[in-house]
Amino acid sequence: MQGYLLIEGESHELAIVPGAGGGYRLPDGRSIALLPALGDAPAGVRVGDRRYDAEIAVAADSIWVHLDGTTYEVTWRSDVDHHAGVAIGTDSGAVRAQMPGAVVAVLVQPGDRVSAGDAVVVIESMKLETTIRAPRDGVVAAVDASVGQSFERDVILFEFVDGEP
Amino acid sequence: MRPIRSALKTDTAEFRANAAHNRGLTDQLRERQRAARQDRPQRDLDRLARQDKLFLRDRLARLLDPGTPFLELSTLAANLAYDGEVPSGGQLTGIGMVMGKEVLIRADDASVKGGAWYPHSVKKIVRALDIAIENRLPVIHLCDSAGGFLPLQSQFFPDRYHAGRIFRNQAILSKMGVPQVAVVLGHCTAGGAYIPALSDYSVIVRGTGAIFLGGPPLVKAATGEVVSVEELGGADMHTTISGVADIAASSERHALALARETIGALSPGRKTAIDRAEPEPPAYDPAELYGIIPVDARVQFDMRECLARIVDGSRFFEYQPQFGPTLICGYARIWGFKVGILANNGVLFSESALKGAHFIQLCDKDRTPLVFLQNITGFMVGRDYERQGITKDGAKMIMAVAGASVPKFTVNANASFGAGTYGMAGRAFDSRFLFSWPQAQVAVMGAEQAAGVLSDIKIRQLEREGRTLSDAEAQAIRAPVIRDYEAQSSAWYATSELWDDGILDPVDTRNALGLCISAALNAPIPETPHYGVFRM
Repeated sequence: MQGYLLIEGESHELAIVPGAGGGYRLPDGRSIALLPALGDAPAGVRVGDRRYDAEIAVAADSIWVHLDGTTYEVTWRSDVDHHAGVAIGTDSGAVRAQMPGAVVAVLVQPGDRVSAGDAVVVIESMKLETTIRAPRDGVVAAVDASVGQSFERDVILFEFVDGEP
Repeated sequence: MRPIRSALKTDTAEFRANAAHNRGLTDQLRERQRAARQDRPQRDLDRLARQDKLFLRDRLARLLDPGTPFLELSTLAANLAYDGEVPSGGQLTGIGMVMGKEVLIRADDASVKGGAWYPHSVKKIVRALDIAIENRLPVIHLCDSAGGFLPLQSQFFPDRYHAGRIFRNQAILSKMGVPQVAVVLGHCTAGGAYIPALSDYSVIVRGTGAIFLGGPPLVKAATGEVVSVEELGGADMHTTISGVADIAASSERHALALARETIGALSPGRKTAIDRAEPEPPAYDPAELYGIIPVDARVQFDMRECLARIVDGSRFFEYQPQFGPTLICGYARIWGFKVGILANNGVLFSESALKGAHFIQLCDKDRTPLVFLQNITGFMVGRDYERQGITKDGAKMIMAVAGASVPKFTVNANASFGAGTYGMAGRAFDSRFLFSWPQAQVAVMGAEQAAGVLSDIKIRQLEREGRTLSDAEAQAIRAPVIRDYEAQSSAWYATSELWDDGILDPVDTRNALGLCISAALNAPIPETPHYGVFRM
C-alpha cells in the first residue's frame, strides 16, 4: 500500500508492505503493529523494536492519535488523490452547457462564494431537469444564464474565479 | 480501487422529502408482497386443511436449508391482471440453497384457483426454467396444479413461449445435464403430468399425489371405465408398476425430506472462477438511497451516489471519467465479485454510447460480468447529433450489449425509455436477471410525449371535422391518455407482466445482485468473445 499521511496538514509519503506471518512492515524492513491495551499495559504502536504508548481513535476519514501528551489528526490519502490534488489549477473557470436546453432556475448571484458540489444553475433538456454544480471552490464571477432562456450546446452558463469576493 | 467520495447532503429538505416518498413506496411494496404471499380466500385455506396439505410457504420453508437466503422472483406477477385474483400468477419461483447447493425452486400454489395455470403462470414458469438453463441451476418442482385454466387456453397453449415451452425447457435442461427433481404433492393432470415425467428424479405423496393424462371423470366420459384416483395414477401404482415416479412418500414432510436427500446425492457442478476478493460492506449507508432517488422522476441525480451505497467499500475504478460523462463506466466489486458497471448519468450522446460499447468489450475480454443501472430517457436528438451519427453510435452500443458473452445483470433504477432501454440491456437483451426499483418506469417514450402524440392525432381528427377545441377540451383528451400511459409504464405493471424478475427495495439491491452473480457462475462463460459488425 502506497500513499500519503496527512498529519496536521502536512503530507508524509508512506509505503507499507506485507511482512512475515501476516503482519506488515515498512520498506526499510522494520515491522509495524498496533498493540491493543492489555491488562495494565496501555494501547500503543510498535515500530521495529521500539514501542510507543499511544491512544488511537478512528472517526470517518480521520484517525486521532494521542502521543506524548499531544493529539494529532491523521488522514490517509491514496497516491492517486494526492497527485490529483497537486495537478489542479489548470481548470478554466467557465462552466459550459453539455447539451442544448433551457434554464429553469439560477441559484447564485455574481460575488457569491461557492463550494465544490454546490448547485448553481438548473437546466431542462430532453425533458430532464439537471442541476449544474460548481466543479470546485470559488467565487461566482458572472452568471450568463437567465430563467426561461434557451441555449445551445457549449454555451457558457456561469463563470467563477478563485479567491475572495 | 479508491472509494467514491459522496457529496450527498442528508440534512436537506430535498433529502427528507425524497426519503419519505421512497420509504412510502417501499412500504407499499412490502405490503403488496405480503398480500401476494399470504392473503387467500378462507375457503381455499379450509380446502387445503381438509386435504391435509401444507400452505405453499410452509412447503418452501421445509425445503430450504435453514437460515439461508431465498431470492424470490416475480412475487408480484399478475398483480394487475385477473382483478388481482391470481396473486404471484399462482406460482412461486426463486433461487435458494438446498443441501448447500444453489437451486431454482418452481412451485404451484394450490391455494390460488387450485393451482390452475393462467397465461401469467405459464409465462412465469417458462421464465424460471429459462433462468435454470442460462445459469445451469438444478430445479425442484413442487407440483400441485389443477391444470391449465381452460377459458384462457388460447393465451397460454399454442404459441412458441406458451405451455409447450415448459416441457421443451425441461428436456433441454436434462440434455445439458442439469438435474430436476419433481415433488408431486397434488394432482398432475394432462400436460402437468409431463413435469414429473420429464424430471430426472421424482417423489410422490401417497393419498394426495397423483399423475395421469386424464383424471377419473375424463376416463369415465371417454371410455366408460370407472376407476379411483389411487388406482389410475396414485403413488404406489406409479412407483411399483408404471415407473412414472421414483419414490412414494408417506406425507408431504416425508416427500420434501426425500427431495432434499435427492439434491444432496447429486454431484455438485463446478462454478466458474472469476476475480473475487474478500467482501466489504459499502462505506456509505444503503438506506441513504431513499434520499437520493428524486420524488419527481424528471429530476436528474448522480448515479455515483447510488453506486457508493451498493458496491463493496464504495470503491469504484472509473473508466474515462471525463469522456461521455452521461454514462458512468467502471469496475467495482459486489460481495467480492468483480463487475463492470454501466450507469446512466443523463441522456446518451455519441461519446457516451461509444464509451459504453468500448467498456463492454473490455469487460468481456476480462471475463468480468456486467451490471447495468438504468436511468435513461433516451439518446440525444437534434440536427448536430444526427449529423455526428448518433444512430450508428447507439447501434454500436446495442451490438456490444447483445454480443457480450459474460453474464449481464440489469436494474431499472428510475427510468428506461426507448432505444436507451436497448443500449442498457433491457429485457430483450438476455440479462441473466432484471429488477426494477419501485418508482421506476419503462416505456417506448415518456408519458407526456406519448400523450402529446396520441392526443394531437385525435385533436387534428376533430379539427378536420370542422371543430375547434378549447384548451379545457384538449386537456380532457390528454388527461386520460397520460393516466393510462403512466399506469402501463409503472414498475407495478412491468412486474405484473413479467417484464422484469421482480421489484427490489433499493437497499436490497446489493444482496440481490450478489446472489444472482453467484447463481450465474454455475454456468461457464463462453471462451472467446465475438461480436457482429460495428458500424464505424
